[in-house]
Amino acid sequence: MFRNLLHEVTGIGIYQMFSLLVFTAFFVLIALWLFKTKKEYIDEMSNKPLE
Amino acid sequence: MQTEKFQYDNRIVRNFAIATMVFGIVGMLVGLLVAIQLYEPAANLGNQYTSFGRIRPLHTNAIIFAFVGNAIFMGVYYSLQRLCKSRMYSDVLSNIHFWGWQLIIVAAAITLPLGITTSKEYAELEWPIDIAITLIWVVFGWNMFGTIIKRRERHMYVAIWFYIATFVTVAVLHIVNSFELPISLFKSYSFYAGVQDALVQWWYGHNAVAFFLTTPYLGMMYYYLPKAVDRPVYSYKLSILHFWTLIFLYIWAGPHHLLYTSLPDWAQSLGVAFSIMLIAPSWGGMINGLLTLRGAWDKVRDQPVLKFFAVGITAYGMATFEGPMLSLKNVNAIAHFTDWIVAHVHVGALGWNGFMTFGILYWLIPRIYQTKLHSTKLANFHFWIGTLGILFYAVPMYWSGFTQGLMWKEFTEAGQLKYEFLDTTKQILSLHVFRSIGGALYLTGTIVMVYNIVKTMTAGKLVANEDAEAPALESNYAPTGHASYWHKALERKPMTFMVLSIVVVLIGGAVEMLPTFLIKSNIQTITSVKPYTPLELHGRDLYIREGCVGCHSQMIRPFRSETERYGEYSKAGEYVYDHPFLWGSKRTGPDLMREGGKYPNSWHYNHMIDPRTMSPGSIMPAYPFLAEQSMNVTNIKDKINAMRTLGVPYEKGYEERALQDLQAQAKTISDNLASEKIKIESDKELIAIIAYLQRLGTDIKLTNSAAN
Repeated sequence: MFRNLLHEVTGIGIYQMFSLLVFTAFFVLIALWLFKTKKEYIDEMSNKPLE
Repeated sequence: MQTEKFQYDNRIVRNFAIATMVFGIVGMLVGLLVAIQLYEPAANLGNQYTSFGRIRPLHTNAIIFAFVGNAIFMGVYYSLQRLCKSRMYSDVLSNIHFWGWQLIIVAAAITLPLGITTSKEYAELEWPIDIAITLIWVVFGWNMFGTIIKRRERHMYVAIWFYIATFVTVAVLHIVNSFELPISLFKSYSFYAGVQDALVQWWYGHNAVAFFLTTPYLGMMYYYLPKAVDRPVYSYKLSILHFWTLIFLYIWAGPHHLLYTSLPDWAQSLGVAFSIMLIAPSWGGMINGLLTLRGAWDKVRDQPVLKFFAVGITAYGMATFEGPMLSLKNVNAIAHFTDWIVAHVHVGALGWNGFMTFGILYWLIPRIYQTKLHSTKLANFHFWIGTLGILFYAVPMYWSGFTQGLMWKEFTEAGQLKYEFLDTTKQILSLHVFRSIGGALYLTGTIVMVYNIVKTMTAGKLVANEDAEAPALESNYAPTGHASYWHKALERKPMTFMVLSIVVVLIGGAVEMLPTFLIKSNIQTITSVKPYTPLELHGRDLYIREGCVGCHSQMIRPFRSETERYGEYSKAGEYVYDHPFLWGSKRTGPDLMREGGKYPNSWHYNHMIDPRTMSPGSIMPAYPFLAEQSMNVTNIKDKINAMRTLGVPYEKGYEERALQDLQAQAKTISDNLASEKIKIESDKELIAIIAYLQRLGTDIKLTNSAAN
């Protein structure tokens, strides 16, 4: 119904695609890093408040 | 390695703790008063300073920025020092931060009842206070980063990341949303208009919830929960994943506050998609919190602190599941503008923010006073009456929301709307009574807590400077092996970390907002939509002053149930001169988008003097003072000039004729009223309000009737 607002903007669809790609890339990066992280480091960090 | 001796600053923590308790009580008291006003208009106390429209923002600001704000600073100042093994960077900055923040709160408490407001939700404070907030926020950030930089701990624990994200994002949000053009010390116009103003406002509003009410509390959860239960967080890996995805996703979801409005469709869809995705990191946080309690539930039975945490985290989980559900368009169609939203935010505010704050206070005060909590029994009583209060608050509000939302949409078999708006208001009044009982129970619990805490404080003695020692950091640290991974490197570099957080947050904001700004020329201009006349503009400012937007929307969604009730649905092009936008987010009263020309001037006059003469059973406050107060039109020139600067096409030199036009139009209205035997001078404020109300939505009506 409000699509008429965007009739003259070409390629607006790219914004959705861009956001999805950026997020996926970001998520994969973080996940990869988490897989590589060693257990000792994680244990050390999670004990910080208790020191 | 040499061990360094230093002292933690507990006095500043104590000061913020006292402030959060004082303003918690004040904010909740005002909340109780506005809740009663919603079924008993006499509770407006017969004067303008305590009428609903003016003090509802006082309640929301007091809870968000005074109660929760001070609680955040209390929680951060205590935990940051310990996690960095360092005293706060500067006692002077700590004190400037504390007193500056309290002064801002006092300024808000004075200006809001006086009607000095921008009307943008949770950003109501006028421009001088906005500047003060910016300065004090910078002081907070300076102090925080100073502490982090001089820390004696190599890596930053996850709680600190949440604090950093809070600092940078709130700064960005506040500055972008506060772009306004001052016309006097107490009045400004939003830099943005209509659709763009709405988009910026709800980008701000949504993320204020995210980065003021959520991220600092998650940071505190990651510190105080392990402390209270004496075991590390369930999964540190999950906390990392949940941190980055949360701050990345949250920023995109703002448009879900504007579904079915005149906001471009693609932006609405983006908002919905990201809102659904948000369930994952939010629940990641909740699960991480609750599972930290695994194997320690026996402790929950006897420690009130853990009871508060358990219910607080559960409330967080409920609210963050409900939020995405509410952002589904079919659910939103019913929930938006109703009490359902009020229920939703209060599950968050009372359950998550309130209970987490109480838990932290009960844990922290005995420690910095080196004593035991005065009474565990009273704390347990507080827990139960508080929980009961939340239930008594939320259940009636959900019920009320469903009831009214469905009644608005109900048609008879003949195809006509089944209920008048007022019928739906009367239907839910008893539920509002129950809601205020819920609020009163919750407030009672808070008062009991304050008594308990004060008794604890008097029994102990504040350890203002707590001795501590830790080895200094080696300055020539060379990471080896697994410590060289990039994220760990990042955790050693707080400034880089801050910049990266900003980038992550800005990506979402930019992708969402830039197109809407760049296509400004593409928002279809409607030739019949003209700037407001000076009198209407003045009336609009009075509408803003009285907080009418708190109960009346100006946004007709494209549903048959709305077009039948209110008229033609709203178009983006109709708002191009609206600085600020006044779409509203709640319909306690009916939408006013097409109010113009619906009733004669005399109806409006009588209705404003006493709404119940025209609409028996109405719960609107009476506005007799508008008929007594004269308009202050001394700055009408400045207003016209300011509007022109913002792009409203008043012709050159019009400011000189504005006052004359204003008086002429006012006289037409007072003459018209006189013909109906209503005596009122043409310079009274009520005349301007009537002029504005009679203008609303008529530009489009005129086009349609001309076309016919």
